[in-house]
Amino acid sequence: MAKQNMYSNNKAKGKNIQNKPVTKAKRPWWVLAIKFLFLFAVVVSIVIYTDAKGYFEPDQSNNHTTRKWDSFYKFTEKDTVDVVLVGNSHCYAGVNPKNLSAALGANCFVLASPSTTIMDSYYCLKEALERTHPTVAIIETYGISNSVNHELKAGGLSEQFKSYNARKNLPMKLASMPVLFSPEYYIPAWSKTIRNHDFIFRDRKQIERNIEQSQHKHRKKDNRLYLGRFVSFTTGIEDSTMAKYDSLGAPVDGTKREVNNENIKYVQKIVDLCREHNVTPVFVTLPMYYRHIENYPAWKKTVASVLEPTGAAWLDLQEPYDTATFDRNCFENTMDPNQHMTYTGSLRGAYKIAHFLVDSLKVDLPKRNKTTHWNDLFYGEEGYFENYPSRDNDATNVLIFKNKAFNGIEIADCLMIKGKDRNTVFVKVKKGTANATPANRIRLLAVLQYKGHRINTNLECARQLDYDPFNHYLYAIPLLKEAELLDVLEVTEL
Amino acid sequence: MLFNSFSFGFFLIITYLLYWLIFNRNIKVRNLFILAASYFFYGFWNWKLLILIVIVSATDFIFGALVHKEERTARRKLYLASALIINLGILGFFKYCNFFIDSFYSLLHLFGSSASFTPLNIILPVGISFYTFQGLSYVLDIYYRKFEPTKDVVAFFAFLSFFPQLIAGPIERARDLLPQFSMPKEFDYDSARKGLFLIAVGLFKKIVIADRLAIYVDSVYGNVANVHGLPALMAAVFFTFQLYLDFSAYSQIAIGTARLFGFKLSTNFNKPYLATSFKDFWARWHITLTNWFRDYLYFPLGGNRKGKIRTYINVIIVFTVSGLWHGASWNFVIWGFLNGIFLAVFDKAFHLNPKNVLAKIGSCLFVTAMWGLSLVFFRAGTFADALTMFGNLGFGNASDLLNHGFDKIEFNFTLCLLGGLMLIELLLKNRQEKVEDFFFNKFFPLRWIVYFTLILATIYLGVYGVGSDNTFIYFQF
Repeated sequence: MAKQNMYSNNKAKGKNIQNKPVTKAKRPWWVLAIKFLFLFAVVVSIVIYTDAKGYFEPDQSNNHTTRKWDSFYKFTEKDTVDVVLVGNSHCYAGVNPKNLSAALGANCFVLASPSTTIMDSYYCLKEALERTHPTVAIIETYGISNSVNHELKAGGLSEQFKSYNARKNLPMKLASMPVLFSPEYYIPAWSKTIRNHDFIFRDRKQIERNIEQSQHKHRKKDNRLYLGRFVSFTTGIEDSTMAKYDSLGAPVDGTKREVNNENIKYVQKIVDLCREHNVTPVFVTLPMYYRHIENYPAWKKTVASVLEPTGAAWLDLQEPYDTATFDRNCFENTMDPNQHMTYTGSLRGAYKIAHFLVDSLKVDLPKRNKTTHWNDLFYGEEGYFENYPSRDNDATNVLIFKNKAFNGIEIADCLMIKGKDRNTVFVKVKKGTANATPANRIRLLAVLQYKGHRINTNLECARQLDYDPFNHYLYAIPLLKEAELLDVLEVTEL
Repeated sequence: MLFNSFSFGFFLIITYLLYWLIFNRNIKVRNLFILAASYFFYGFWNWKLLILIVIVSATDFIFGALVHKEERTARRKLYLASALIINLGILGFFKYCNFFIDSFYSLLHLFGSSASFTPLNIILPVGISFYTFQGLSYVLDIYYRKFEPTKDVVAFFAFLSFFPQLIAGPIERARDLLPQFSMPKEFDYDSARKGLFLIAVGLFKKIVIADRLAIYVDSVYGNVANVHGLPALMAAVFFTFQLYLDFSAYSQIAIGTARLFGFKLSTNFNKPYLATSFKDFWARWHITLTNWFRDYLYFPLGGNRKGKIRTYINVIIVFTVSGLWHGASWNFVIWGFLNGIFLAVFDKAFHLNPKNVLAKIGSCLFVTAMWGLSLVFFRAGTFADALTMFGNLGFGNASDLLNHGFDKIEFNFTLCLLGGLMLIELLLKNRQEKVEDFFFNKFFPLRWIVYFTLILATIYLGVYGVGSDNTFIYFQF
């Protein structure tokens, strides 16, 4: 049959032409290649479409890494970042960038992302330096380890994907891809569809949420100032964990900490990169609770052997350990080896770094706090009122009074900051005017307006932070959104 | 570099382009390029293990030539024995060393010894069982005067390390594959297109079906003692299909990849679950290995020429050795032995070869069920696990069916996939060529719809990504 088909039956049609075999014209290999390319292009387009629609986007409620980079690019459209911080979760949990900015009178930005390596920090910093011209780059040292990007498994790899996705500089991302991922993950690194396609069977609700979200074209823009802060933990170490330290000992052994050549290479590359851009590199070790780690000198020796040859500055907050500053409230309540700092810890971490930069390194940062623009930008943000006075003409917040004394307590400012969900009363007490040991709480006899009623009530304000460099002790109390402070009649220490 | 990995995708595209653009102009250069690409492919796992392939290739090349030249029988036998010792020695050391020592100590324990044994730290080189057997077939064919040795060392080395079939076959005979390395290659559009299609089908079978079945199977076999009734039975059924889909997918991708480069590899699977007898089954399952054992073990043992009893014994010996070839564990030996028994007892004693349709369906189900039951030994981690699994098989406890990695939708989806697969195999039986002709030459919209469906289904419905273990089952052998 097949043979018959190969010959055309011209005789039957009455034509006097010799039978000739009719063979298919041979098609060259590149025809197949072109068809394959077409198929490939259509498939890739479909994948890009579902990527763009965000159907396979994981839960974004906690994706601070993307928010950091979005915000960084937005911030640097008009402003320069003076201090950029890179590292992993220890970095963003341990430093509050707004408090650091307020203390330094400069713009500080945390570009750290969870579970990432020093290699990732290098590329994050590199991209940041393409975008802005900081004076200082702070590199948290927890990421200096024996991790190898190409050997990252599930959790670490997912976080590396997030960090990589959040960055925006295309050529830089392409250049960093071979270092950050093994070839197996080149495509997943770029496509959420490829990475999260299993949502179809494992998390259909997330797909439904994503589809619903993709249909809302006009999303509300978040115009709040975001400098990379992320608070994972709010409460400190509990008694039960303290008891575990007694019974089980420290969960971290410094002698087991190792650093491989790849990490050493990238530490040097970070320092070289900083010097190329005329940026001062500063390595910072944020602490764990002192009882959480044993044999820290061994770990310190390992890190020192990597950092010392670079000649870069190193602030080690683990040793010497400041027990007065870093009490148990500063640390996550965990026996997991990977202990982070709490919100309180992040404030103290920020001020410790500020001191080091100003007093020890004497870094010459631009005095942005002298400018109206900077004050407009940071006014009312975390750390601002601890370091700067409130404005008489504050349109957002309500200044109750300035420079008043009650029972020997000199108050610099008393104001109510209007928040999204609640209001907060701040009372700034001048240092040295109250008792030598500041009271933990003060009581205000306040006049409030609440649902149309004017009432007199006592408000007990807790002291927020007892760590210098403020000129003031700061006391605060949250109020309901509907409640408004009208006046303060009396202030007493408790 | 797994076939179902992005790395292999990059590698294949680059190799394909270089092959047809640059290296196919001269046979020697082309073979050298294939050899380099194959060594790169293998070295991607562990470049140090390349030395084993080089040793095996050199051994078989040299001893093949010596066996051919030598006229004296004793010398020929000596050369053959040397090749066998080196090939099987390497295979034995890397694959069976710990097994034999462990078995020896277990035997001592039976006699009251308390000597203990710490397993040696030996890496099992991927694909070693396949390339040593392929190399041996070359020397054996020369010994039996069925084939003349090649003088082209590069072609021979490329033949033994040809990357599409290096890791898990098909185990090719030198007489089939080696001459293809000496022929000029002209691009055959139809063959390459079918090759691409085979790759797409193979990837779909592996990534969408086999790896999905693996989720359920791994969950049950990882907790054998606590899974009873229908879930255990379902895991046994699912593994029966997983193994077939996994391995046949690998073979299809291998055959398809080879076609892209103008090479033809042997068929390794031919709808085995439609077999109506065990003999029929083994003519359809891992065909190249079955043929290898038939030619180089069953026939030399005497085959069926020495009476019925001896034939049965030969069959059982061959299958037991085949079991051992699969893995260094008594479970595999038992699995092989059982299949030998099935073939000897059911086929030979009861002449299981039905004629009418109902009987055909019955025997087809019977053969597949017995095969599936034997696979419990194949899959279980230990002999004790296998016995526990047998003890737990049943039809009760249906409520536990969805507690092993699947929700209702995924479970039903998997059953639909298996049903669809069997239906397609049934439809293709005896009409494969007609269907292929229609599919590839007559109706292009259908063709393109199938292409897109296969690729998009693999991308969106496949089991792959971070945390998934997508290794092919036969890579461990």
